Amino acid sequence: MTLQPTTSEIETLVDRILVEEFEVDPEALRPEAKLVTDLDLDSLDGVDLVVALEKTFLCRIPEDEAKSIRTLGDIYDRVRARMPAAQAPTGA
Amino acid sequence: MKPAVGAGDGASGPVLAELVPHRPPILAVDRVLAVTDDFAEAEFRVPIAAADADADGNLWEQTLVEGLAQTASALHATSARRAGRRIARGMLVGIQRFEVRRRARVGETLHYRVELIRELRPLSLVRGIASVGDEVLAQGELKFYVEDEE
Repeated sequence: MTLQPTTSEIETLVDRILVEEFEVDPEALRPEAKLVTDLDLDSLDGVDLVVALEKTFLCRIPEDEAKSIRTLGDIYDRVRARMPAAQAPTGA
Repeated sequence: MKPAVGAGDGASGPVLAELVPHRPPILAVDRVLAVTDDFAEAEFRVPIAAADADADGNLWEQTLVEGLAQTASALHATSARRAGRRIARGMLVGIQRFEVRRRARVGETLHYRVELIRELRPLSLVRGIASVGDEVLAQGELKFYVEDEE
């Protein structure tokens, strides 16, 4: 049985990638944050970000999906969609 | 995958010119040894009268980057050709996680190998290694912008 990250774990790992590898300000990490205007990423960062996500989550993000990413929430959604059985956090 | 250029019949001269757009005096590969959609290998014998060598015969570090970039040109050109696209212009736009252990010297034969890590057109990311024999001289990642087909 393969353990899949929960939704909150996915978001935590994505946030960590952005902070540690792309020097994004943690305070700016909101789902609606735009990668370019709010998180200060540029077009050249895109391919590095996708590589980092794919290494972390052991998945392949199709090119068209990768190119449609605009916000942090889009990243969460794309990664979650590539996880076979991502679960929402349980408990109260 | 069968290489477009096999190890035994490396591309030089006119064939090399199809794969690598650079021309002397900035041409930094003599021969493309092998190339597929995923990797390319090339070699370059550093000439005695290399313009980019210091008084002691050591080449500038940038020469290794240039050689890797030109090897990547062969990779991109072959990939485009196999996909039925025209061979587009490209440029090196970034270097990262790159280390130079030592500079190449006049008279040495450099071996360049580049592997495609990821392509998100028009950007591609490759890992490159420059070596002499078994000794790695430099390695790291290079990022390219390659024009999209119109």
